[in-house]
Amino acid sequence: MENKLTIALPKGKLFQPTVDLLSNCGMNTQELSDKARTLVFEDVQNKVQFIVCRPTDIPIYVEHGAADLGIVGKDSIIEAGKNLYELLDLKFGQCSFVLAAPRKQLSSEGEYPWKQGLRIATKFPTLAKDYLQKKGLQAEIIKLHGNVELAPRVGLAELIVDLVSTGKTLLENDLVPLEEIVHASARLIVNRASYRLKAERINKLLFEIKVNLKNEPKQD
Amino acid sequence: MCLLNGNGNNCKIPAGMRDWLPPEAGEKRALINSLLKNIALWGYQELSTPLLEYYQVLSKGEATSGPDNLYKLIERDGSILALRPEMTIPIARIIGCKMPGNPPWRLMYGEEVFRYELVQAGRQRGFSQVGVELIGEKGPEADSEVLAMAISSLKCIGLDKFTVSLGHMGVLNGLLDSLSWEKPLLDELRNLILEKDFVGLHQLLDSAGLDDYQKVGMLDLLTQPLSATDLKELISRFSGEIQAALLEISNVIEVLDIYGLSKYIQVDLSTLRSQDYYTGMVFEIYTAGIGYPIGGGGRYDNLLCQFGHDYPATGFALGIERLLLSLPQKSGQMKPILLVGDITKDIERPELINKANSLRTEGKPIILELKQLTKEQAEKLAIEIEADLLFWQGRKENGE
Repeated sequence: MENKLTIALPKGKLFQPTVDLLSNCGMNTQELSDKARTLVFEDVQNKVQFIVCRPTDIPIYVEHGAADLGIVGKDSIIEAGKNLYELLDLKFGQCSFVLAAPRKQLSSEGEYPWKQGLRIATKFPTLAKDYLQKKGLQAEIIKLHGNVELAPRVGLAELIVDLVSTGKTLLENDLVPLEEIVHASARLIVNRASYRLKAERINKLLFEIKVNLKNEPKQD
Repeated sequence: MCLLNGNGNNCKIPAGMRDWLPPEAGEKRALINSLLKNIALWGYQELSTPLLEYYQVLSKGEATSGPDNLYKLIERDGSILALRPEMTIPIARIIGCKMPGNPPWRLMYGEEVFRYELVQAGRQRGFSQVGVELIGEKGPEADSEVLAMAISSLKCIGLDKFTVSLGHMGVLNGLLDSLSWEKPLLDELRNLILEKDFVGLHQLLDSAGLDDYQKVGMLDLLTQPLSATDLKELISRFSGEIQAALLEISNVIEVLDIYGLSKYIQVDLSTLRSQDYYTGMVFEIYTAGIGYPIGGGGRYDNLLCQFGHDYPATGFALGIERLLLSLPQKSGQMKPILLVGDITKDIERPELINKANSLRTEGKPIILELKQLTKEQAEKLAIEIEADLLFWQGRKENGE
């Protein structure tokens, strides 16, 4: 199909709101599921193909043009550092990157005593490095693949940089957020070439999504 | 025969570099040649410059902020050298100090360039560019010549589905001037537009306290693709630098219309190039299936004064590797012919060598096997080396 639009959708917690949004924009999303083994779905009538993949891989699919568009959290975009265009804030999937420390490390005024040789455990080394550089702080970054909150408890790191949506995990592990680094939410991203070559279709979808976001009551 | 896991370190090449084996190496050269041949039809002459230049010279073209993307090494006297990351600066240097004749100069090149970029999947650090510089001419006539040449070169190598997105530095500069902001904030704005981070752009404009009217006007200008009529309407809405820039774009499109090439143009005012030296119209060329631009260029009127001459200039460069990826059929090389003498006929060597030479003068690629073979041996060898077989049994038997 010459004028087919390929959209990459994230598995996990952003999946359902993404599907709801697309279905509100008139796409046939009935077959879509992130549990099924099939990862490619067609909406023949609208000439759209959906691919379902890991959120962290979506910027890669879009950068190389395997997908024209993608819907993914800002967190994945920052960490991937890819060359693509970010068109729209979709407002759902709100969360924050925070720097957090164990409560018992704080002074009685609630200040964190910065010192040399600190270690920060995180799943997001690029973001953590940029943050440290911007603040002029020095620390060693330890890349982990999950359950970062464990690191301070077992002495792997003094601090963590992690993504927080409700703050429950931090609380349960007796960690206190020191600073919000970036606020993140779901974004619509597009491939550089597709943005030009499929401009008409992409702008039409963009317009529909914008109308939809306006109509929807503010959610959090 | 080489084993795949043969010699460990001896088999490695640096990250971002690649080897060119047959037939790709031949396809690449054929592509470069046919592009240059087409550009030569516009009266452009080829030039070539050294791979290595002084860092001081090359860094004039690099973005002033952030680390540069140059491969550097040290000369014996301690000065810093670098591999050229593009051809515009070396050509500007030549114009500045040793170019004979008078402007305008129409120059073209097909050369390898090197960029020490972060290793990302699919991003090469060494690649080839075919490009042109038209130096000493200004105005929409020169800009449209360069654009028409870029488009027609792509068409002549068989690419048809591509889009040229055309913008103008004057629009951005005019917008930036209209804001009385501090430099870091302006740099951030410029970056957000370059990366097309429209969400970040929104947030920045919000936090900078622009009123809604200004904000919407600016976002519309930068984020909406424009048709010819939109452009006309926009020209009347603006004044000063922005209006002048929009007028220039419209004049360039007018000339391209006469060439019959304006259908390839898409006006997109957020088109920016990462080099700092562009001053006027800028463009990027996109084709289906390749996530990056396959080429781009624009007007750079202030670069040459850094090399002592105040000439206006405009040009483009095409990325050869990306073009190779996007071309459906490649101009393949001719299959070689294996010439072997029949062992049973006892053919003399001079006869075989003469035969091979006369075939080569006819333009046929000949691999000559001076050892005489039986028919079966010859056929087997031809299959092994992927050649057609000419089994020579003497003039008579071969019907000459």
